[in-house]
Amino acid sequence: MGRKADLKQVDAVAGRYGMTPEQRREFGDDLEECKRSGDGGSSDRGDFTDDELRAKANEFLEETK
Amino acid sequence: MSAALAEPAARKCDPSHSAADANEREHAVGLADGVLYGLVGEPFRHVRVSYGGELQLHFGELRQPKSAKLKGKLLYGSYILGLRASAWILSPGSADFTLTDGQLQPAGTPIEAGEVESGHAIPPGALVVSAGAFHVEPVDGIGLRVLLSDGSKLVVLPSRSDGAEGDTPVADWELFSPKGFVLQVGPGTLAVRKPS
Repeated sequence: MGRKADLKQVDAVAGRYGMTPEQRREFGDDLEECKRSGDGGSSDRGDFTDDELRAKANEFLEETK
Repeated sequence: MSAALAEPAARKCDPSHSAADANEREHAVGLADGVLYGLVGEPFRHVRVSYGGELQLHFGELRQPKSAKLKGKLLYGSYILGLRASAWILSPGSADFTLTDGQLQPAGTPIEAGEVESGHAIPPGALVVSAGAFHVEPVDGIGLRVLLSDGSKLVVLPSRSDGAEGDTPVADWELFSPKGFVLQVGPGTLAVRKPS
């Protein structure tokens, strides 16, 4: 998936979970940290599927509380 | 920051060429310049590649992330410039190479975006000498040019719409500022969002 498609996918999930622009940016950083630490998704290069992104968004918001 | 920027603003960049549209584009560039002015004089800190290959440049005072999950792992600048759907070229002042997102073919040798994270491209502490927006006629979008005191140059060009933006268009580039204002530019729209 290309850069724009990846970002669009993250933005869509962030929007669905009501994240602010700052939360969305930090969520993207969290996803990248997960990838780099070997906790990436099941798509190419460790990218996340929509379902995986939703799970990550839940986890991110829960741990951000 | 001007009073006009203290309020949320959204400006459409209409592709037609009437005088009113020209004024609208000029106004949008002026709004962007108003926010970008705050970046001038700030020190460059570091570059990070975020999820999706988005290059982020951090400037100003370093601080911890707001997310508890990221605290202790990452540091953020008080200004964060995110190069989202845009094409960009970064020419480090003291290096004989050019970094690019792959959409542009600059002179010199392009290397991968991730290589810039190593920190040898731009010296931390280099100051922003100028930061300005400009209208890009072929795609009717707004680009960005940033110059640093070590001679490094960043040029950001808005993307051509893929015609399938849907409900979640990806901004060409955005700037997070210390007081929580977020400048989001493109596609076809410029918005200054107030702190939430």
